[in-house]
Amino acid sequence: MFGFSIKQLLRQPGKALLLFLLMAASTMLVVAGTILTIENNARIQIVEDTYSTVAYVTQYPVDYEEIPVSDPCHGGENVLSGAVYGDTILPEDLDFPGAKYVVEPEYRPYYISYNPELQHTREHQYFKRHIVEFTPLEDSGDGQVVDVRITKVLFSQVNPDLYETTNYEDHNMEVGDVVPFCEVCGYGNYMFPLESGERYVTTMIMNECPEHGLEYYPYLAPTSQQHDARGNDVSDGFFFEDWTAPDGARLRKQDALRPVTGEDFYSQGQPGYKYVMWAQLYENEDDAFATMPVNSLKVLTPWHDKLTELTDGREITKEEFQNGAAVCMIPSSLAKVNGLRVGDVIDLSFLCALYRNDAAFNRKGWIPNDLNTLYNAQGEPFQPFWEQTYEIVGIYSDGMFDAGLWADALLVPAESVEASDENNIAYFEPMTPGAASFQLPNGSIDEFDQGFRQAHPELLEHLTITYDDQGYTEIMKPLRVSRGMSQLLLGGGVLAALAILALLLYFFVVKEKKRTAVERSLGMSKRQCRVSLLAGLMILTIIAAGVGSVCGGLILDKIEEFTTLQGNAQTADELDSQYAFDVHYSLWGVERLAAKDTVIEVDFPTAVYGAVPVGMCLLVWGLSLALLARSFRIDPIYLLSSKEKS
Amino acid sequence: MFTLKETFWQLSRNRARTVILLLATALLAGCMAFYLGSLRANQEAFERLAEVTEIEVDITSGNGAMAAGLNITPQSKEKFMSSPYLENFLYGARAVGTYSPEARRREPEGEDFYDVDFGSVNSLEAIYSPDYELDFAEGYDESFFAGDDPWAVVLDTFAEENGIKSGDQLTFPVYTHIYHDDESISYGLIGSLTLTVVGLYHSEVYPQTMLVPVEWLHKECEERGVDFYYNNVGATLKDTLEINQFKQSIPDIPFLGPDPRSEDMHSGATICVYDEEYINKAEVFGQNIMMFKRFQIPFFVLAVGLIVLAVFLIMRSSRRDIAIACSMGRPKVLCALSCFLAALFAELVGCVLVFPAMVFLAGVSLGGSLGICGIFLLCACLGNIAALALILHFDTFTLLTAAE
Repeated sequence: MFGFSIKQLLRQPGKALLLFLLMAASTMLVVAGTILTIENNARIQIVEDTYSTVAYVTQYPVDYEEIPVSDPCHGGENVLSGAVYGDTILPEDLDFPGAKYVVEPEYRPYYISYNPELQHTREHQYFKRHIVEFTPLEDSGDGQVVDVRITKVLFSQVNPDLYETTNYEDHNMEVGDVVPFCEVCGYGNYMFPLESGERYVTTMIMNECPEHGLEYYPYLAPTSQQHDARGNDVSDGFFFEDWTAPDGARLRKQDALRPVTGEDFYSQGQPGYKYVMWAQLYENEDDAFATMPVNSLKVLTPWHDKLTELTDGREITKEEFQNGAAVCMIPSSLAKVNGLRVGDVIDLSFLCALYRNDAAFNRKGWIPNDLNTLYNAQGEPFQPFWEQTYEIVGIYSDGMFDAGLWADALLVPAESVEASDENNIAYFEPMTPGAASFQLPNGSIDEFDQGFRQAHPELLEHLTITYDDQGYTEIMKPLRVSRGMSQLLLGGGVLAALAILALLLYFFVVKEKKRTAVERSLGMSKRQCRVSLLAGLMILTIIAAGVGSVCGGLILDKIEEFTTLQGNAQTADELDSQYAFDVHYSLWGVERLAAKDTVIEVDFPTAVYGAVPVGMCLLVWGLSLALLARSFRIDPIYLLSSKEKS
Repeated sequence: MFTLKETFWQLSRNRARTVILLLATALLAGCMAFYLGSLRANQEAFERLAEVTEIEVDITSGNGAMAAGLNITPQSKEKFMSSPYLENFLYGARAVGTYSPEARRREPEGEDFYDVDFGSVNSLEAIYSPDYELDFAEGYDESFFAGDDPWAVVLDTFAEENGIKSGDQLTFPVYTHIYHDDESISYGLIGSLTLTVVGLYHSEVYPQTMLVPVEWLHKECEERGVDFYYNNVGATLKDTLEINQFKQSIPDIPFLGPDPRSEDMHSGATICVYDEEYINKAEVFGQNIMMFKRFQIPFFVLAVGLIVLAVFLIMRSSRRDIAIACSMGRPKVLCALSCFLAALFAELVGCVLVFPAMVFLAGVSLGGSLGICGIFLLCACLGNIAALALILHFDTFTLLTAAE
């Protein structure tokens, strides 16, 4: 019966060959279109999932305050300059109606906690400060360099191993040491006349003076830097109460030296007690750790720029960020030094918030530092505003110190800190990119930027938003074009396949009604008639679909080859078209060239090679059976007696 | 003659069929006009964009951020200017001078020792001072900036303070201005140079004390063996459409492309082309043109196919008439000819109907519209022939004896 069926098919060789070729061609188009569509969709999905658009916020100063200071050692005059920011811009000030965010603008502080059970990963990086009482060996009325003998040491620690940050001659002070001291180099507003036999207390550090060589000079006076939630300085209290010089001049932070008066000078309530408190602050430095509350890891530069990776455990999940789960992530070096593992818990008791992210302050030894003091305006140590036990869920590699995060910094969900830090802000400076950022939906930079500029023209002068979409825009352009083309190919292929299927069924099933009637009248069963008609047709279809599928694979190889060639082509000459442009030598083109180099690997959907031809065969099989069933319902005698239409 | 008559009979005897063919033709011609018109409009826009866009090219710092404050050697500047793709070269150098006796007593360091800040340029266009007003002495004009004469235009306020007027000769020490990587600036004494004041100028925005020809400064440095650097060098592209060729020629000059990570701030070894706006716009037109061109052949094949289909379906009913004519001894070719002409006539009328729409609605030029009609009629001829070949593929006797 099979042989008979094929014989019947071959009686119309032209038609059979034409339909065979058309069927193979349409299968080829459907296979190629389907695979390309699947691949392009997968690539687009990968880009959507892995690329994120983050905006970093910077508030710039409105002016710079310049304070001239007398500095005879450096040529007479020097200038201390400080930025003047005007009104503080907060994250909520950036919002406007219609703004769409993935993560809303946030200004992340560092919360400071004392954790004596933990050990820092870096030792005494910047320990070179001394809080000492001394007596000059001779008078120095003008503040010029004079040898002084140390009479009391409140704090003195120098790490001699860190030569890069410490002068060789610097050392831990002991009572009786004689060192050179120059008040002039300290940039103070008032020179206390140094009299032999009198005692003075000061914080001091060693530096090289061009006039006198290595010497110590006054550093910074004990102080508070408390701010309110709008970033206003509210520190003018306890530490500042005696900041008036004997001549009435207002002393500055740089005026670190005070004459020691009376035997109870260092007792509580006396001026010297502030130096005792300051020494205590430095003593506790080893125990101070910073924790950053965040709403998403993606808005942090190390994660956005892929400078860090998970070394153990997992990242904090979206749900944990939203629900404020008591989980944290810690840096790998901290985990290693302290033997911490995923699943361990850490008790964190947040004393105060530091709203600053200056990269220079990211090293151990600067928390607290001279600006980030842990005393409030009333001269009291900040009391914890939030206590929580956090479970370590992930450990991240921390080779990222230049990227903005402080060393040994823990990350916790911002929502997990339920108390407000507004009364415990130890320092505040305007937003900087490392700490102020937000995430936008991919591809929405232009829309957001336009909306922001229209809504807040007054902020534009002193605020900059820098967008980084990791090249998403440039990468998506060709991917979208490619997806459009592959969908077009698939659509065309499907339409062509349906049309050819209809023709195939018409010529080899519908128009063969009379043949079926003859076979039935000759006594063949319906099953035999089906085999007689469909066996050849199905063999033709199976072979055509198979050949088409193979050709689809070959076409895909060619397309891949062409795409690779186009992808590697970078100059217009290589692109070989007057409508393609070489973007070398254009600053804006750097990102486009980088995007061209990006390869997004996706799994090849090999199943399509089998699924498409099988689907086509099943379609032919099913429709043929349906059409045959219809013709079986007509009496053979009626079919045999009817005439063909012209 | 009979064939022509028969053609018109065919058209008039079956008016509905003729109207359908005519409308189908108008529709197809409209589609083709839209397609070719879009292609042409994009091409015109692409060329027009290149005509109206001026692309600037500057020598910059390594990261492309600074187009001034550079130490560009005369050799680099000459290589840049040797490019055949560039024109309107604008360049300048920075120099300072100490005119007053107090200034001459100061050490040549820091920002404040000098009292004369030269704007030395090859053209006034190289000076960023949008509000300047010039008052030249008789016989002088701004063309002297392109030369190397020791002439100067002096800022009016400086001239007033120092009692300077046109025609005066000023002699004072002049220094070159050299940038260093640590952001410091050093000054090299060229010598005591003499300048003739040929005019005064007024400016409120970024006023420079004296404007002089940059090549005069270059010449003085060369004669005295002092290192001379241009501060800024830029140009515009002669033909915007040749941007790719220009970029391909840059390695021969040779200059580097900008690299945001570069730390080279002053050497002037980098070229930056400011073409973002042009390329972003031109690429849109270019992609449209490429797409229209890529699909041009499939579109025309489709058009011919649709004509074949339309003519085949419409003329199919004429088969019995043709069979009768053939049985009466008329050659099939003549029968086909009359059918062909009838279809072509209907198609021509369809084109005529759509022609005003092409010109007035689609904005295609008269010549362009005629061209599109010509192309369409050519496609129509091919379609008609193919359709008739299918229609006439019958056996006269079988057709006449077949039952309806």
